[in-house]
Amino acid sequence: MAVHPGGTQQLEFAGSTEEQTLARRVFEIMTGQGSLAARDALIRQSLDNLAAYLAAQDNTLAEQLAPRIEAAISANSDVFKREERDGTVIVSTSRRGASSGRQPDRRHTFAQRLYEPVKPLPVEDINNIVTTIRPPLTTVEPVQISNYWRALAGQAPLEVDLVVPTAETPVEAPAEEAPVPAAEAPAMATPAVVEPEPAVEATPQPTVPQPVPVQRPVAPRPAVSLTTVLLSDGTAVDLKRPVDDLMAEFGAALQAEVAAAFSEDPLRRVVSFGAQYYSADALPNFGKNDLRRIRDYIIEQAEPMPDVSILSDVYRERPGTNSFEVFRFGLNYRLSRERDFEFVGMEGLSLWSAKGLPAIGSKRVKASDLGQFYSFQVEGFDETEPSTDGTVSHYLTPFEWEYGVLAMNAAFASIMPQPLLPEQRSAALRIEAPQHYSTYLAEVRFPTVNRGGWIWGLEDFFREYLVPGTLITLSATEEANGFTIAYEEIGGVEEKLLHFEEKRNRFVFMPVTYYAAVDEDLLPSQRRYGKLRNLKPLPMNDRKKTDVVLEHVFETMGEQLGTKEEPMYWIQFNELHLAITVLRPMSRAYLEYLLGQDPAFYADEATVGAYYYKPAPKAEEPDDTVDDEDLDDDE
Amino acid sequence: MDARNVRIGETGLEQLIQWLRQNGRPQSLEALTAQYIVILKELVRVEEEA
Repeated sequence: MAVHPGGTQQLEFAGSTEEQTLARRVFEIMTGQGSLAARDALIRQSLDNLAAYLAAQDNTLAEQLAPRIEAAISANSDVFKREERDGTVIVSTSRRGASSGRQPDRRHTFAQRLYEPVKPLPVEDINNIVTTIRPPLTTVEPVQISNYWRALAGQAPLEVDLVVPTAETPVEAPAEEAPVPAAEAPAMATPAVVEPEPAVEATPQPTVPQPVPVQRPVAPRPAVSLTTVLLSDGTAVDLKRPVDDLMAEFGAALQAEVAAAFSEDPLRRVVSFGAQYYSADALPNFGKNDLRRIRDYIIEQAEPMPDVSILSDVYRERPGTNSFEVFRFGLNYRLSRERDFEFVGMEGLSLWSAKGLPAIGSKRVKASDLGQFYSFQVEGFDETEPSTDGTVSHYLTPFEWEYGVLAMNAAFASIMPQPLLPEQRSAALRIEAPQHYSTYLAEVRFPTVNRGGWIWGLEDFFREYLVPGTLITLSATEEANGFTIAYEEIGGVEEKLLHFEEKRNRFVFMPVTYYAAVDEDLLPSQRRYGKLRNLKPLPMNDRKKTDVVLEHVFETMGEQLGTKEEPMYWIQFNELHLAITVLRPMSRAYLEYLLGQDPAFYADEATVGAYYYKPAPKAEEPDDTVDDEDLDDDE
Repeated sequence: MDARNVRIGETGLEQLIQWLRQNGRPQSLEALTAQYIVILKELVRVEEEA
């Protein structure tokens, strides 16, 4: 066999001279047709086509040429393969001149390499090995792990402790212990068999100290039976007892064990939403189109919507059908994992808000600022008591009236819904004012570790019907997120009250006729507290600085009893507190704490409830910023 | 099964998941825990009988 100039081999064909010639021509035709095919790939052509093509070149009849071609092919069966398909003779060959194609190499496939790596990594934690293949039959295979390894892994058994010996602390030889009858040994608290080690001289070793099990005084072991299992905290539970008894005595611990088992399941076979659990692979599927439809629906309704409404209006799923509860669970679980949706519901009412829905609450104060304002509540300066009858009464401060907020103190928190999900930020409320037949969409922001909580969304109601100093009463209703708000109505009273003029960024007194019963001491009227107009509407960032607010209020509202060089201000506590609550929320307890923290503030021993403020001497500054007090403002 | 071989949260968990799936409704943690106890009791009892 000679080598072809193009790098391919020159074939020698068998048979008569004519057969060799015909075979070569057929081979050249077929390899020319499959010139771009792999050298091993089979090139196929029908005998009829070959005969027709060659007959046209030789000016003969194809019918006469076909048998001769077939004979030539048969004489070179190592180069050509003949097969019949539906009565048509097919001739096959390859560019390398073989009648069969290359067999695939299945010695080490990609699929095999995925599951059987050539160099597998060491398995450090068997729990990290996850397979999606489930055994057809459930088998219970207890894992026996000695206490030695349990102790090293932090699951120390009851009686054995580990001590790392050092050069200074010689190892105590373990005392021999009477063997425990196997029938009494608990399953997980069985002590490791401590081999009595030979007495070791306390000679410091240069090697790394190894943990050595050391006996410590053994507590009396509870006698357990063959039907007793141990919880992870060592509590013995006898399964012979009725289920109700076990649930009554160990219910909380057992529920924690089951919840932990589900959350630690690497396959996440069971998922939860709130207090409900269900199998993950049996949940209905909600795709992107579904989420878009739900979001459009919520935005169209212009307020957070309950899951039941979403299911009935968007999916025509009615409560009471067999699949409704599963559908409902699936919807809630799916939405809880989407960033475009926020859960704003509570136990018994799953409400969903969507990205793009108008925010609830005032736009004039940021949520982050309010969270910091109300942080004193989580720092222990909340002086309110939880309500026992579902009703809370509260005097509005000027700040609360201005921005339509209420503190989420102990009193209000006791009637507010609790968060259902671990990281739930807020819940939507519906507050009804029966005196005016109006309803307000409000929101409770739950406190965090270092930020206080609050309720907002009542700005319109406060500013339309109330004034600062009004006693409001908020009552829970039968609906999970329903509340009513009420106040005592009176005949109209005209008074000049403090008002924040936003355009000119200043406080002014304006004549107002109000119809709500108020506490005169808490009403910021010009008649009682004329100096309030001199308060500066400090930026929100400055209002968070309690020292800045305190000093400013003392200097503005207090009586100057010192000299210009050494000023000293005096003010009654109630007046100080009212003026501060114009600028920011602050409980009386927190104010008392702040006054006791700085020696510049001190109580007037001659007058109960009065305080002095004596600022530290400052370097001389041009005095061009202090407003003179003005008691005769007729604005 | 010998109760000493029972590991709470592992033993019988597959049966509990099957029960939850067959039940066809989301369940509270309390109901799941009660069923888990039933499953464990059954596992221990079956072995005792054998």
